[in-house]
Amino acid sequence: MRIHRKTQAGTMQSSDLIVFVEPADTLEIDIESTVQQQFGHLIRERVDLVLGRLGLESGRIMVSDRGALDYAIEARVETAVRRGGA
Amino acid sequence: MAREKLRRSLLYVPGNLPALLQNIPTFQCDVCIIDLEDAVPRAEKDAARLLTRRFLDSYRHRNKEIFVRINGLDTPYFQDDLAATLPALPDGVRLPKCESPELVERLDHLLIGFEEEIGCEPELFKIIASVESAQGILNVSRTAQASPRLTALGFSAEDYAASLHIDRPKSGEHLLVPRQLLLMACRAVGIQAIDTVWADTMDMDGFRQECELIKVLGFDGKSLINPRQIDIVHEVFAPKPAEVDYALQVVEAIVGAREQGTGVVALAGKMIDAPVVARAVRVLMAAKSLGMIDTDIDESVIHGKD
Repeated sequence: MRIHRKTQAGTMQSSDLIVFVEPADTLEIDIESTVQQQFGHLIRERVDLVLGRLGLESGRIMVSDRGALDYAIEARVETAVRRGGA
Repeated sequence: MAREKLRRSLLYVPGNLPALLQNIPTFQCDVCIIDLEDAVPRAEKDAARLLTRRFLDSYRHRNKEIFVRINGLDTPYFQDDLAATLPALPDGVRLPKCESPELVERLDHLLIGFEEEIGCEPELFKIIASVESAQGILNVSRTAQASPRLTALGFSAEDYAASLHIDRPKSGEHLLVPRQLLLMACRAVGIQAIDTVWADTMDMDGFRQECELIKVLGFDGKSLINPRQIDIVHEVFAPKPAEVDYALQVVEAIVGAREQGTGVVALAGKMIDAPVVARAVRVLMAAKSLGMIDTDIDESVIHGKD
């Protein structure tokens, strides 16, 4: 699966996150979070898990997190990838 | 005999808002209905399905019943709603716009298919069907009998009033007949009756009055749109101390009878039969949830082991 179009999922509300996806030659992941220091690495792990499960080979994935829990991170990342990918 | 769950308060929670979904375990209501229908705009239905699924996957030890309100069977969304959320094993599905028994039958068939695919026990998923129009009320008696999964009918007054081309006066006189018809249909087949939402979350007095009315009419519970409404419903539906005392006596009598090997017992000259025991159990469950009694209600002791 690759990202074919620029799209997004999620909101800027507290406990949520926005995931922006756009086409790219390789797989690039950027994460920005209100709790970057404490949880940045765990968010990255969760994102990697979902992208691995979906089999994403390429795309730029940008996450802007507002303190979302794991289930929300998984759901928003999957939604964005499904909206933008094929 | 069906073991009836306490369903005094059924709180709708939008399926597309993480901040609300993750508060579900903290709400004190009996049931949460995760909404994929009216609360979720079309462009976000895919997102709401995934949020609901992943949230339910993470909420394994549940302290309340969870139903998912899918989109109507006349929309292109319901199939994906079911496919996305049922594997997380909610207690059932709330079916909107249920104007005829055929819609309940259709959902029943769909649920059979999903249960086979998921590999769970047959008839695991229950149905609460919402009746939302004049046609739906006219069909309500047949709808109530349409499936063994149907555990309750809900009344939706907003859409019902729209179907009659009238406004919704808070006095509610236009709702007396549909409420009574829905109640009678439910009681005739032994399922629960759930009243409509009260939309004005600032008018708590009006809300309390409506709760008192529907309690007198005989409803089992009410659909809610704000957690602040939960306590009021529970207060209004709270059993009186005399009712609790009587219920305790009924349970003591039936347990005693069971220990003696008989299922039949009299209390103060009156026969205690199954409906009396069922009512006593409901009263004690409500009393326990309000902290009126400490006793644990062991249903297998009361009803006998299956």
